Parts: sequence; structure tokens; C-alpha cells
Amino acid sequence: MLIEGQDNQKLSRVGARIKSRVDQASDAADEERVSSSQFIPGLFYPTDHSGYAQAFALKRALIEKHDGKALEEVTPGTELVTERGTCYRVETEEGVSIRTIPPKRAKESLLTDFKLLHGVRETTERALKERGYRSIADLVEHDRFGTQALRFLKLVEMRDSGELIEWVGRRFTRSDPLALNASGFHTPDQLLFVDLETLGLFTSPIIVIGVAEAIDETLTVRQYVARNVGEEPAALEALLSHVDASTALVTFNGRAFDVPFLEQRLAYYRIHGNLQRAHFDVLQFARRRWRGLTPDFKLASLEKHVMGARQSDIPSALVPEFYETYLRTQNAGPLVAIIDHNRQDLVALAHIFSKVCEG
Amino acid sequence: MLSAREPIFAETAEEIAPNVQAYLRKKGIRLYRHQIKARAALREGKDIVIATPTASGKTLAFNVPIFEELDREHNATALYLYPTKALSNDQLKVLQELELISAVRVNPSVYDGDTPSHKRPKIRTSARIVISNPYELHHVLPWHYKWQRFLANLKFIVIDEAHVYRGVFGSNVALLIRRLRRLCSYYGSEPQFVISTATLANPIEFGEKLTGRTFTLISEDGSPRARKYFVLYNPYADGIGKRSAHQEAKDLFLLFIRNHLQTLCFAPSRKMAELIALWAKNEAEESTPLLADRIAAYRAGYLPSTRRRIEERLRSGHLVGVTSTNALELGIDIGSLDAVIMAGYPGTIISTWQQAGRAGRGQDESLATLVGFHDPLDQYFMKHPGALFGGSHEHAIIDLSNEYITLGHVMCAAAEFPLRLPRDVAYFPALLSESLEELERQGLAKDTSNGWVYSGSGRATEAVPLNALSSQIFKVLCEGRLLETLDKTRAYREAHSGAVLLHEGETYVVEQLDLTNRIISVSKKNVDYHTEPMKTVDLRIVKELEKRPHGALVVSFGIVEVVEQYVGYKTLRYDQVVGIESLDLPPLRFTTMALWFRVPDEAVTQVANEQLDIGGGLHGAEHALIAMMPLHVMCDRWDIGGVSTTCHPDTTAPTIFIYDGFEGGIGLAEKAVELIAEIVTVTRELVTGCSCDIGCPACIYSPKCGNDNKPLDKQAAIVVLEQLANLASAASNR
Repeated sequence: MLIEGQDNQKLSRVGARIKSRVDQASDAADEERVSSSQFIPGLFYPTDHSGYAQAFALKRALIEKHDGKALEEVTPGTELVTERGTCYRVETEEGVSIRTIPPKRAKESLLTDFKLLHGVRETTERALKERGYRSIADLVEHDRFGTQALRFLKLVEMRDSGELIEWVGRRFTRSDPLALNASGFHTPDQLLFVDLETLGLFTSPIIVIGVAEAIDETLTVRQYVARNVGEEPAALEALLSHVDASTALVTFNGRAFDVPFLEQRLAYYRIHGNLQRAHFDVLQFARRRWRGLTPDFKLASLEKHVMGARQSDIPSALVPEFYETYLRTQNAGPLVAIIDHNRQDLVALAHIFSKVCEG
Repeated sequence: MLSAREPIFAETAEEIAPNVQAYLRKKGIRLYRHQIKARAALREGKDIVIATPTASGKTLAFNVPIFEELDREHNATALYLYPTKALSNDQLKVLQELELISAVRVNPSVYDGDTPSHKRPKIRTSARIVISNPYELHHVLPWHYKWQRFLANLKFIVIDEAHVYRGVFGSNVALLIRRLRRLCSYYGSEPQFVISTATLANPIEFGEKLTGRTFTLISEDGSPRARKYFVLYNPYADGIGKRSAHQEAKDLFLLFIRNHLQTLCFAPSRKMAELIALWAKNEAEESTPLLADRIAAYRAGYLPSTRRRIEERLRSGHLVGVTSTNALELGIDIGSLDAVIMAGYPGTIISTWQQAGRAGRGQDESLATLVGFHDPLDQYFMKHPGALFGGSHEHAIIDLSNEYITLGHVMCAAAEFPLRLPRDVAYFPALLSESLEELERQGLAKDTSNGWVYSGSGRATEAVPLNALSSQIFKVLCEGRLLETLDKTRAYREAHSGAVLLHEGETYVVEQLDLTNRIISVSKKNVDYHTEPMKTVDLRIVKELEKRPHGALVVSFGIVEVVEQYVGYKTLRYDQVVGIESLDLPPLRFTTMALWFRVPDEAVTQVANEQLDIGGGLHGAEHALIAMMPLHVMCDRWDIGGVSTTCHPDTTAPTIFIYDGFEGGIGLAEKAVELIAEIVTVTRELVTGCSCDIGCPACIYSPKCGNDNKPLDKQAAIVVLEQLANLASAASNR
């Protein structure tokens, strides 16, 4: 008996040490996120300590407010049952109308930029236009550029937005405003706005998968919440149920973060799903659109610039901390704050997307 | 003298694939018997461990059958693991040539920390041979889905220079390999293993511990060997010695070079490697200036491009003499040399033979010389050469049941894909369910319907270091140009302000050591002196966690802090001290876990009565205990440290401390606490039964003593150990 007691003591010492190392690694990753100029986080980061202090005050208030209440009482939703278990679905409707680029304008913008063809630069483009070529469609019979022009024209006619983004990416960058035109080939209801709340940077579990879809003047937000780590696979299944052949993804920094993160989690659970599709990463377009007008390109800064500041919110760096408090105390308060935060992010994302599409 | 031997060839039972045959023909290679055996065993689907000596053609022994298989099976892939990036790059060249001549398309690629990110996706999707290192693999495994093609088709895993993976580092690599195997099985492959290693006492057991597979040993060397002379050179044969061993090593180095022997001189430290080269150059300058340009130093810390240049110049024969740290001990391709000098015993028999193996090319005779230093360990080998030639090699020990190491890798595995019981017990035979339960208590794992899932917020792999490597890197700048990099401990020791820093045979004086920005500013100055730091080492008990009685012997276990303070430095001209300066540096603190016990007063009294030295007795007992620990707690001797003192301020008694050489501790002292009675007993038997007179490497001499094995008193050590063993076997008086 004595031996067993000692073993437990030893293991718990080892466990406590590894826990502190994981926390250190997590803090280091946060610092890296904040200081890295390449990696611009999707969400709000307080750079001063008052932001954290406010957030902790908010957490205390939430815990008090929700003392003894279950999530299901505080945030109405339904338990979703999938083949891979359950998760909690929260559905809300927001009065946001999504404006996209009119298909005609999109088509015109894409077809009039000859530099999209390999081998064409400013001078060649000017020369071609002087000779009367107005559109890439006019070039299909051209000796040198005909084959390419035909292929490009087909993509435009087939409205293959995914391939078009890649095409623009090969000639310029995928963040070139030209690529955004490809979104014009989607009706608003084919756009899937996606935003994740996670326990950490890569290889950690996902807490909330938020998706938003626009129908008429309404933005329907559906959030798939993992009430514990075991509910993550169901949330992933739920996300995939929103994706079909015509879906295009809209994210904020999703090329660097949300999509690879989701792919890693899908592979982790061996769930088959293809997220390699037309994808509009609003961060990229916003950078060009508002360069010099906002202090940085955090979603919160853009949101403030485009639609004014939020009332109460938690810093995204504290999402893991809030979630861990929720798991530990089973008090719904901190989780409610995460769900609210995610919904506000999705709404902001939809607004900013509309704004960049307006041009 | 090691006699010459004719090559032993063998015929292949099955013909070698024409493509690979073309390579062998073009290079004029006929396979030796051990290479044929390795090929046959691999073709039968066996896992092999190749333990033939340096330069016996180990690489070819596995490259031939692997290329044949990759030629036959067009999707098959292979992973080659090397302990360093330099070795990976060397192997890349070999594989590229093999690919070119054999026309077997394998697209060999190095994938490590230096691989630019834009090249990575292509390697993941198209390379059939990937060369990497354990550190990179550790961080790559969570991204396995991007490696699906590679892992699903993985046929071979080659672990070269595997003897490096012993002790704590080896135990970490062994569990890393288990994680890799679990992923292979997830993607439906079951690769064969090839382990290539220096000669060990336990190659088969080592292979099994390292990978969890069963091995066939390939050890009968069929390669030819020319005659090799092995000289033990003792500057202190008369007991006094006229010059320092370093000077003697330099003289030999020059003597060999002047006699047209291309010579590699291994030195015990970076500084000595530089100094021996510098002295040799200066001396050559006076008589034969052209020779001076053909002497260089080589060591870690140099920029990779510098190292490549020196390697290349050594291969081409442009350099006739190179001094080096053990950086050239592993199989970097520098060709074979005429002579090797080892300035001081390299610390292990394994290293001694690896270093000596650098000499000897083709049919020409070669020379290996071990210069004995003044310390008792070196002197022992000088007087007892049988210990070098007849004695057994070290055991390479791996522990698969260390809680600290296992818990970390179980957590990493859970972050790769969910763990399941009992399925995954095959990969983690010890402590799997206990580890998972503890991780769950810490909120780091959760038992879900999908299996055990990692639930921490940080990257699991970042919380699990494979080795005690310092992550704080200092840059040495000379007029804004990056000269080299140093880790923190080295920066304190070798680059304090005023220190003379030797770099490629030039002297630089440190102007400032900027601890905040980790920058060392130096200026190039021609000085004829060098510096040597002076430090004090203190061990302080931070917290006693446990007191464990074994009979009447009470052993404490707890957290200690080892504090190294660099208080000043000496300036020396050759070996003469010409000045002493003081230093104002903050202490280096290292927190770890230790066990300690007070040595009973009876022992002290008895030692005094017999007119023996208690300091030497404690020190000797400490060394002997450390020597016996690896086999009991399953680690390498270099993983643990010790301190003994006749009166420690925290215990107010003569005390022996034994601590883990890893920041925060890694469970070695902790395990030894449980086994201390046994360890004390066998240590007593070892020392009392040792036939030496005043001590030897088999009992109280330590190859890693910070005080040159002084003071030591074997008889006093026996008294101390007898008393401890008696206490341990006495009935507990509680």
C-alpha cells in the first residue's frame, strides 16, 4: 500500500511538471503570436494589461451570474447527435445582409486584365489593347496567348472560383483584389463564413466551430460547441455538413490558421472531408484595402474602423483560460463568453467581407 | 599493433538488381561478407543492427538493399535518421550519387530545421528517401497527415550512429520511435529497421530497446584492414613530466605532420583544439611557413560553411593537420587519415575506438596515439593498456519505464491521434494507463468515446525536450560580423569580458558580454596569451521532498540548486600563469532533483584513525556510486552528476549528493532513492573487490570529474562505503 501511495505521489509530481511546461509552451506561443509580424491573429489581442484585467473582471462577473446554471439553461440550443458523438448547437439570426461583387462586374474585371496570362506584362498588355483586344475572350485566337486565354475563359464561364483564385495566385498573389472577384461567381448563400475558437495553436482541440450563412437579409449563425473535449468530432462532422460542391469559405486568416487547423483535427479523428476549395481570406484583402488606415490588421481593429467597437468581449488569448475554468468549475459563464465572442467575430467577418466587396 | 587483415568477400545468393549493380561496377566496389549478410537479412524481412568498426562500409551495407527495394517497389519510401544536420547533409551527397548512377529515382532530401519552408511541401509529397534528425521528427509527427503518402509507403527506417541515443536522450528517442511506429501502423505500413552503431557491449538488446523490434546482428567485419599502430604516449611516465600533456600533444602533432602524415588531433575542449592548432601553426611559421597554412582547427560553434570548407580541404589533402573536438568523431566524411592523436582519454571506450578509427586508409599502415594526461584515469590506461584493448565496450542503456520521459511521450502520442487501450500498450509497454490517468488529472488528456485525446492548450511536443540542450544562444560579433555562436554556459565560461576567444587559429579579445541581448562583442587582437576562467560550484538544498530510511541509512530526496559562479580568470602564456583578473558575472543557476545522505560519524572517525583522507574517501565513494547507478536506474553516466563535501552547510555533516544532469530533474536520483541500499551494497563490493591499488576507472576514477579525479583515497572510500552498506543492511531502528 505504501508503495502505491509513493508511486502516485511521484506520478503527480511528474504530471504537475509537465502541466507547467505545457502552460509555458502555450504562453510562449501567445507571445509569438503577438510579436510575429507575419502571423496576424484573427482576433482581439490586448497589448496592455488593462485589457486582461477587464477580461478577468468579466470572467468573475460571468461566473457569479451563472452560478449553478448549466449551459443549456443560459444559452438556448440543441444537442446535436452525429455518428461521432454529440455536441451542442447554438443558432442565432443576425440582421446582416451580405453584398457580393455582381457577377458581371467580376467577370469584366477578370477578363480585362491581360497580365493574368503568362508572358504578358504592362507593355504587352498596352500593345494588345492598342491593337484592339478588349477582353481575354478576344484573345482566344491569338497565336501566342490563345491557348491560355481559352483556358482562362473557360474557368470564368464555368465560374470555377477555386481555380481562378489559384490562377490569380500564380500570376500575382492570392491576396490580389482580382482574386476577390471570384467570389462574385457565388451567390451569398453559397458562402460559408467560418471561425474557430481553439484551446491553443495547432494540435490542440477545438472548442467552438462557428459558421454563418446568408439568406436574403439574414445571417444565420450556427455554433457547434464542444462542451468537453469528447464532443470535438461531432462539431467537425457538423461543420462538414455545411460544405458541398458549391461552397466557398470565407475566413479571417483562415489560410494560415483555421483551415490547416481543421485539417489537422479531421486527420486526428480520421474524418474524411475536403476543405481545399474556393477560399476567400478576408485578412489578405483587408490589408490592401485599409493599409495605413488602421493601427494594425487585427479583426478587432478593422471591426472598430468599419463598424465601431464591441461592448464587452474577451481577448482571444484568454479563450483557453476561460474554457479551462469552465471545465474545472462546470460553471457556464466563461463558455458563454467564448460563444458570444465567436458569434461577434463571425458577424464582424461578414461585415468586413461585404465592405471589401463593395470596393 | 593491430594486425592487417585481408578482405573477406562473399557471393550473393540472389543477384543484385542491375541498376544498383551498375553503381557498384562504376565505383569499382565488390561487397564484403558483412555487407552481403546485411543485404540477405534485409531481404528476408529482418531488422538488422550493424556494429562493424568505423570505415567498414556500413552505409553501403544498407544503401544497396534499400535502393534495390525502392527500385522494385515504385512507391516505397525510407527514412534515414542522423544525430546531426552535418551528417544528414553528408548522407544526402552519398544518396544523390547513388541515385544518379543507378537511375533509381528516390529524390533523396534532407528535411530538418534548415529546410526552407517553400521546399517542404514538395519533399513531403515526392521524396522517397527523407533524411532527418530526431529533433525534427519529434516536431513533425503531429503533422502526420501531411506525410500520409510517405508514412503509408514506409519500408525502411535507418538509424545511423545509433550509439549516440543512449541514456536519457536515448530513452527519449526510443519513445519517439514508438510514436513513429504507431503512426506507421495507423497508415498501414510496418517498416524494417536498420540500426548502425559503434561497437557496444549490448548491440542486440540496445536495438530492441531503441525500437521495440527484434534484431539480427551483423558484426563480423569483412573489410580489409591495413596494419595499425596504437601508441600509448605517457608524458608522465617518470611520474613528473617535463611539459604539459597539451604541449606534448602539439609536439607529436607537428612531428607527424613534418613526417608527411596527414593527422587529426582530438582535443578535450574547444579551447584546447584551438590552442594546439595555434601553437603548432606558430611553431611551423618559424621553420616552414607553408606548412602553417595547412594546419587548422575544427569544432562545433563554427558556422556551417566554415566547417564544410575545412572538411573539404581535409578530404582533398590540402590540410595536413587538423585539431578537433569530438565534433569529427561521428562519421562526417573527411576521408581517412594517416594518424590520429587523442590528447587525453576521450571518456568512453566507444569514443576511443571511434576516434582511433579515423586513421587508416586502404592498404597503408596507420597510427593512433593516445596521449595520457596527468589525472589518475588517463594514467590508469597508460599503465593498464589491457583495459583499452581487451576490456569490454560500454553498455548503451535505455529506460522505457522512466515516468518523466514516458509521460511526456504518451502526451505527444495522444496529440498525434487518439490513444486506445489496450491496443497501444504494444508501443508503450510500461506505464501507459497510469500516464494517461495522470494526464487526465492534470487536464492534459481525456478519455473520450474516440479514445484518449490530448486536451492541453500548448503544443505537446514543445513541452517535451529530447535532450538537455540549452536554448539560449549567444552570438559572437566582430565588427558587426557574426563569428560564431555559443550556448549560455559556454558564453560564461569562454566569453566573459577579457577572455581570449580562439577562432580558426586567430585570437580575439572579448570586449563585452551582453547578457540581455545575448551578444558577445570581440575585437581581433594578436595576443600571445590565453585565458582560463576560475569558478566555484555550490550546491544548495532548495526543498527536501522525501526522507527514505533503508535500514538505518536515511536517504533524502529533493530539489537542489547547483550554482556556478565565475569569479575571475587567469591569463596564461603557454602553461605559465601571468596574471589573475576578477569577474563580476551573475551566477549560473541550475535547478534539479538530487538524493543525498549524511556519512555517519563512525566512518569519519575510522578514516581519521587509519590516517586516511576523508575528502578523498567521500569523493571516491561518490564516483563509485555514480559508476554503479546507470545499470540500476537505467541511464548513462553522463546523465548524472555528484558533489561530495566534508561538511555541507545545509546538512552540517559530511554529505554525498547525486543529482540529475537535466534542468528540473528527470527521475534518475528519484529512482536511485528507492534502490540506494542495493546500489550502496554493490558499490562496496565493487570497490573492495577491485584489484587495483589506489583506484582505477573500474572503481573510483570518473571520466567526467570536474576536479581531475583529485583528491581520491581508495582505502577511505572503502571505509565510507562499508559504513554506508552496514547502515543500509542494519535493521531499521524505528
